[in-house]
Amino acid sequence: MYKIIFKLLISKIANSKAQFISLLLICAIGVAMYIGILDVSKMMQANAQTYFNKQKASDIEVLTPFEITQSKIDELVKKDNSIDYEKYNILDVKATYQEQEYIAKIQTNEKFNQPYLVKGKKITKDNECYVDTSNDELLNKNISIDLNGTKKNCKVVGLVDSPQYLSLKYRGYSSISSSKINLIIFTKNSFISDYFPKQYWPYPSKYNALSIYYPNKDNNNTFSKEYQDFTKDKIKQVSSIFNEKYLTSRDNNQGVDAFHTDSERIKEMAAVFPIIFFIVTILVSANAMTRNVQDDRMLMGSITSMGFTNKMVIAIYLIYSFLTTAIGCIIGFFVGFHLIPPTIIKSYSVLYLIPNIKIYYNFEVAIQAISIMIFLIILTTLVIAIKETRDSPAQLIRPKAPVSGKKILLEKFNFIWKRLKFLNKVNLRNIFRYKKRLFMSILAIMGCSGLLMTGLGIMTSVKPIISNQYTKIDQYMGIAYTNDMNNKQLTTNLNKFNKVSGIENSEASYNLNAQIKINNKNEDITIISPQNATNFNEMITMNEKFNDNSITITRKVAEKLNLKKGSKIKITYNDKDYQLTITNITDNYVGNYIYVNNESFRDIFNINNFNCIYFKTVTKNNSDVLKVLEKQSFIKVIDDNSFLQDIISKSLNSIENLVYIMIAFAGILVIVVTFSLTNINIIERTRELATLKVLGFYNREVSNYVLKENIIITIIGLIFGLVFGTYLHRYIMNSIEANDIYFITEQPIYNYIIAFVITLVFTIMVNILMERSIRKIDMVESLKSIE
Amino acid sequence: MSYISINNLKKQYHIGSVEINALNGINLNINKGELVIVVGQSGAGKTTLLNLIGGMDKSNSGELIIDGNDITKYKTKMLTRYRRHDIGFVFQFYNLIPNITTLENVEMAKEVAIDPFNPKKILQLVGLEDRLDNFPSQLSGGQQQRVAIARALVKNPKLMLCDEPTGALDFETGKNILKILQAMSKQLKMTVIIITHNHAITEIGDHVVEMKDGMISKEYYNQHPKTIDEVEW
Ligand SMILES: Nc1ncnc2c1ncn2[C@@H]1O[C@H](COP(=O)(O)OP(=O)(O)OP(=O)(O)O)[C@@H](O)[C@H]1O
Ligand SMILES: [Mg+2]
Repeated sequence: MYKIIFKLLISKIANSKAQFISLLLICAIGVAMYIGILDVSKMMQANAQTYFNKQKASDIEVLTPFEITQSKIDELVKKDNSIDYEKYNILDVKATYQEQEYIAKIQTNEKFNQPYLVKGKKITKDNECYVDTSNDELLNKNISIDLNGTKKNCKVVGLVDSPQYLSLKYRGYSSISSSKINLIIFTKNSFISDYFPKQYWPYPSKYNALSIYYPNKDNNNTFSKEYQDFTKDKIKQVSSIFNEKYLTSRDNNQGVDAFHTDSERIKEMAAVFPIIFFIVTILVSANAMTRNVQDDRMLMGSITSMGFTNKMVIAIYLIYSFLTTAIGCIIGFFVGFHLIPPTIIKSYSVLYLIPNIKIYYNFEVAIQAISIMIFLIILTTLVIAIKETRDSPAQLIRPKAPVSGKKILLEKFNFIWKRLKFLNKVNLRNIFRYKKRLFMSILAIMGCSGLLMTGLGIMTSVKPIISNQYTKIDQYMGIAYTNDMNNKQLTTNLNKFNKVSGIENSEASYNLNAQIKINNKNEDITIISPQNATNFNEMITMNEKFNDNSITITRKVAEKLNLKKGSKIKITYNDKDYQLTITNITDNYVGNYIYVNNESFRDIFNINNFNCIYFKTVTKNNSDVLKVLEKQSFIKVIDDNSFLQDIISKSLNSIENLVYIMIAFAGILVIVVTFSLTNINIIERTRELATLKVLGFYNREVSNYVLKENIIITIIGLIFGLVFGTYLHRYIMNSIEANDIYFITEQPIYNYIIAFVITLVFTIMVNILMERSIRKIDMVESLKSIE
Repeated sequence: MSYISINNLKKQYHIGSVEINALNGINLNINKGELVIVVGQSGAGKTTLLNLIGGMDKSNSGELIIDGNDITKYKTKMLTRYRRHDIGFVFQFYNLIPNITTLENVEMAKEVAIDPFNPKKILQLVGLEDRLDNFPSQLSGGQQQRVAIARALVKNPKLMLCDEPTGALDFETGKNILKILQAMSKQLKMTVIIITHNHAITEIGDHVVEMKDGMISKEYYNQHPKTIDEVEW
């Protein structure tokens, strides 16, 4: 008997290859999408965590400008004697290689935060060193390291990544030159201690940095809540010994934190995708299984009339759908893990330096995806099979009575109906004949095109940020930060500043970092108060020109806090609250700012100084200017706008890659779904189509007849899909926790056109493919009277 | 020359390695305007022959000359055109399109015809003028078959092919159907071929063909074909 069941099963599959495969593919896509998208952030984090574990990332770093004495360490151990630690040195130096000057950090840690050797060989001698991988031109070169005029050569033997510098963005500023660090050097402690003269601190056996590691903690996963709570506690404990401003926990390391946010953002952005995929999958598979079972009524009838029980018949269907789903799930499993996360992680690797991306099968996610998929499809099959086998064998042997014709709503509008061409009327009736099928098809198409629309929408929200911010809005090249300057100091300094050749325009300002509350969470906002309002318009283009009465806020904040012109905003600065009345709102894409005219600023904050200079350069290439400016003693730090632009565009590019994947999958889904629906439509109506052939309809006409119906259904689904996609996209963009990036949530017309055309073209393509099966319909066979 | 001229027509089916000679060398001539009745046991090859004449299937060898053209040489497109312009088909199980009304079913066929009749007039002819807006499921079997006949007729075909048109109907209804077909052939000078299991019906035909094992076993002409009402069975 099992043999018979097996035989029936095999013949079933052989008879419905196209269905079997499309069902299988849909399952595969659904599972792959679910796994891929939901696992990206976890896989990114798992890779980072593995890297941390391997390189023994410390829990807390104490980086001070003075000596860390043994007595302080003893104090620390007294509080928690389980700790493990390493003392080392970290110094800001300058390094040169053939005229090229580097602003460098040199550090000597070996036990914790071990550098990971990417290229080259291990350090064996004292005068050898590693440098970070962004400076690969230095490999095997002798660099000269210079601390306050004392120089020593050192050979670069290897390129390394370090868990302390996950992101190139956050290597910090140098204390000796006020510019950004662009080189990290790792050496043995003896290199420093042997070499640096004693008057320069630190000298042998004195250290200014400390790595702390807690071996006995429950959770070492940097990205988990437990770990973060744990380090918070420990920071509190350690801060009674060292000033808190010298402490960083692993999760608060700027690079790690940015990485964490970026990885979570992917999930927020894409989480709805797999859900919609699942819904579409279920719709299509339910559709296909209904078709399948109805198609086999006779077979079921004859099996049951041969004495088999309904249970066995149902079992055949369950096995059938289990097989497709299971094979689909297995394919989806591998595609999901091997295709999606690595692609996205790779695109993030320009921002975050994690060596050796490995694929981790996250069985939790996989089991979720697979069990939901199998459960839903099996359930659908079960419901349909039970419903269909309830008829007696005699009833089953006869084909299901065709759904009787009915007038459709449109016919009530006689003036329209009368004008329709005859065949169009027939098409319309057919469309509305099978309500269930219509509904499922529309929903499926709606899902696909909605996803497409969302993908395109994310792309258009993300893409223009860079050009809008850095070409349309920001006109300045950079900001030079100084100590607070009173009017007299400012005049002298500006004089010096403007003398630097290449400077086109400059404008002094006081910039201060304050906080606002958005949804009860503190968000940073920068208050900018330029000295000369009119000239400031040369630096930043605002929607309405900035003037001596303006208090202008950027759009993201205005939208988040629902502010209009005339609204008041509460700002916290140095633990004090201030009220400001908004006069203007302006477009801005990166960062949150309030531009306050200098008079109001002085009144409100009681600050009469300036602390930075916005500047424009004559040419775009400003590196020469920057070099000269760096040498000015009154300048502390220079924010180079082109550097920021570069970093942000890299981050946005990574998002784009994700979107390409989503669009590709949505496209594939459109194809598979239309294929499956059209296929079912044709099988279901073989008799009708054969009749048309007998009547002398050409193959072309017969397929047009079906094609037209499919196109109408597709267009209805598409219209819903476009609306759905618009809202879905808006929802996703709003839910992305990027409080300092403003996304445009309106979709341009061409997105609608693209989504529309792509879906329609896919539908037509599939239909053209299906023409073959229409041509193959055998009139004689299809119309053979039912014996 | 006859309207239809069939020479040594053969058709085989293969089931596995077994070869079935469905038509084993048919020779037959049919004149324009004849009402031909084909009888024979089940499996004799009647349907196969009709399908070949109707261009729904392809033969293996022999000639099938309709109006001077050998349709065995036709490719798919030409065959479709032949069906479209020359043939009206009536099946045992009416094969109406369930989702459209009586009138629309007939109009459907009209869509592809060159010189069609008025669908409403044809439906009047088969006595369905009152049921134009009914859907197939709302009609009795006989009524449905009349719609099927109207659908075949509306194209104004040169050749009507009916495969057991009364097979699924009761006696009275069947008689009605045959009456219509006979009237059509006489009034419109249409060539009509009807397959039946009922020997009594042979009396209404101008030309009777009896088949057995894929061959024509007997063939004769009735000098005075009876009208349906004169036939008893
Ligand atoms: N598709 C097919 N495959 C194999 N054999 C077939 C096929 N169609 C018909 N036959 C065989 O060809 C022979 C002729 O069949 P045909 O349908 O023409 O008979 P018939 O005279 O119409 O019979 P009935 O009166 O029962 O309708 C039969 O032996 C039948 O089994
Ligand atoms: Mg037959």
